[in-house]
Amino acid sequence: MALATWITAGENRWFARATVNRMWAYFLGRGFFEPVDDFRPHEPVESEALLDALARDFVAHGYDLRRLSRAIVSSAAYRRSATGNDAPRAWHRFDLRPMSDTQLLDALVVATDVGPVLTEVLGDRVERVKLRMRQQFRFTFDVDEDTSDDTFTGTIPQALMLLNGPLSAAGSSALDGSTVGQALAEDDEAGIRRLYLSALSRPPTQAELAHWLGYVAQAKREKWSHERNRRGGGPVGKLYRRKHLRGTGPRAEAYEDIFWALLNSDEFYFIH
Amino acid sequence: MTNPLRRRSLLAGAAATVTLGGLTSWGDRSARADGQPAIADHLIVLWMQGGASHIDTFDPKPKTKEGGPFRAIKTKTPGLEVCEHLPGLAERSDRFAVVRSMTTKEGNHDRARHLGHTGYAPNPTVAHPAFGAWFSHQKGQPGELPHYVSVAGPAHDAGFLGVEHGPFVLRQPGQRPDHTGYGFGVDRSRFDRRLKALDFVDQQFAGRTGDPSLSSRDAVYARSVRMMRSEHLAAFDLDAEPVADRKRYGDSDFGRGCLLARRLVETGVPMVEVTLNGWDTHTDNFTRTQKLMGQLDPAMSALLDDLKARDLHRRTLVLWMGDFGRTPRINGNEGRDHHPKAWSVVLAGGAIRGGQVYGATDATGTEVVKDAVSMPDLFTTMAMQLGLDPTATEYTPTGRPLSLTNQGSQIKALLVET
Repeated sequence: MALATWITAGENRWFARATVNRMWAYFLGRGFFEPVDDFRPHEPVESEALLDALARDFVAHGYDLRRLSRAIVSSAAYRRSATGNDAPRAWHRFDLRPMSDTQLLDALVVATDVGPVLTEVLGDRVERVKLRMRQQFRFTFDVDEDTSDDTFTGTIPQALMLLNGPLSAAGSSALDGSTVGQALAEDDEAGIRRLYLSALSRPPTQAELAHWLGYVAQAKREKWSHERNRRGGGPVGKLYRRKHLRGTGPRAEAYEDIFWALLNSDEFYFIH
Repeated sequence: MTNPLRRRSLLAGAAATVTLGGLTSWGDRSARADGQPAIADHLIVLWMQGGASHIDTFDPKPKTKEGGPFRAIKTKTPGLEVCEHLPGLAERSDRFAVVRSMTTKEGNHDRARHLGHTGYAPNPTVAHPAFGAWFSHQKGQPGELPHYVSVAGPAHDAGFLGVEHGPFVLRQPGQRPDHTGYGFGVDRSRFDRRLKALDFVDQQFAGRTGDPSLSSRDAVYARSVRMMRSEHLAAFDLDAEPVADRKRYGDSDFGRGCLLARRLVETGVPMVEVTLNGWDTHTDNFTRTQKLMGQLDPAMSALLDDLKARDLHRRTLVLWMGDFGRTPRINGNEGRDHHPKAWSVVLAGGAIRGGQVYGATDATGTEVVKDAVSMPDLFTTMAMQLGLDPTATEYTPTGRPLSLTNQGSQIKALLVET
């Protein structure tokens, strides 16, 4: 108790500084000082004035983490994007960071919109299936706490899961209700736009749109079609047989490819 | 705008080298730091998770209060006795060296595993790379399968060297790694088409960011695809092995892991780690240790036999090691506790001179009394066996210089005289 009182005493600036630094590093990928738990007085600090101001504000408002988070996410530094090539200075651009495994799994479920489809087909078992996927994901590699985030950019098992795993397969299939299914109900321009917005939260550029329109046209011209067996395919096969869109052919196949590519892309994977 | 090392160009390169894969393909058995040729190019670590009792395995103390109920048996090596529950290894003692004088300071499992995998005690400000990561960093990643496969075990990652040097963790020996087959509704031609589509998306992004972490991820993707398409994936199918051969390794996951290790080494995988869990015998030490030796003895014996039969033993260094040893004192629960002060490891293959004991403990197995070996000594010896430069320096992200190990000396007595 005495320790807790001492730690949070207003004059003990170290607790506040350490907390602010951790939160800043959490949001921006890099703290005022690194590693985040090394807060000795002599360590060089990036932007001392800013750190000090945030720490003082944090103490003054009763260690309000919400207020602190709000201050950080509304900063100009946080709103910078990862693109652009300004001259280097502190947080001049957002460092690319991979999503954590949990974030990645959630992002996949949201982007593909297969959550409701899964629930409909699996019923009560959906939570168990999701848990299993999560465990598989975690197993792909338990990232060590002492590995700084910027060295973690995914392992072979994780890449294989994104390339061939059930979530990518189901999530990029032309299923009734999924993102691809919704996109196929629209014209090509709107459909491709939907795929981009769902996966990358931005519309395609003119060049990208032109590229994919050409891709769909080629699919039709060459009559792409991969017969999917009536059996097999595990849970994805089952899901597909229950929910796939009929009579869509080469166009659906092209859309599935495009969406699969977006889900496997660096732009999807990295927070930028 | 277009980075020549982008993912799909890597894939093209990978495809071109497919035919070079296989047993002897990674011909770069490059020179050791001192100009001598490298002796081994594979490392198999048999990791005894929890810490095996040295007294009940390779450093028996019969007829002492601390020695416990097990008898010691003679081996092929004069002066070397081992536990009676290691009869297969006793017969093969001419092929390995027992080091009875390991001494470390880490008595906590996590810290000891960190030390045993990286050569360093944990330090919150440095992400130490595992030995296998240094191995990959210095010697590259030959072949189509991962360079460092960890079977059924926790493995230590590549730390600051980057995730592409980290271990490939296989859940269970005997089955193919997850997701190495094409997904539902996808075949080779469609997969190729998709990779091209993916390349297009990534080119757009790379053109706008140019961030170096992209190439690291792309390298992992390239290796993943290479692995999916490799005929060497069949190494994971233990069913292909004749039943009689499978039997020799024993009916245990550890036995299957050792068989897999041999098969992987045959395809060119540089490092395999197989874990045998259960050695943390604070209670009921003797029953449990006997059972574990029942798995260890046939598996390790068969592994040594097969490596020799295939003429791989000189090219393959084998290390038997765990967290630490266990106390000579038998506690109230018929158990033994953690004992890092004096313990044993076993080395075989490469230029290791078999049929010898190095170092010694006192009458009870409490203290090292001769030729103490530190973890850096062990790491230096292993590194030099594999043609690695243990002192080559890399810099952590904060600019701190670090090498594989820089405090150790090679234990020349362990090696055949040249």
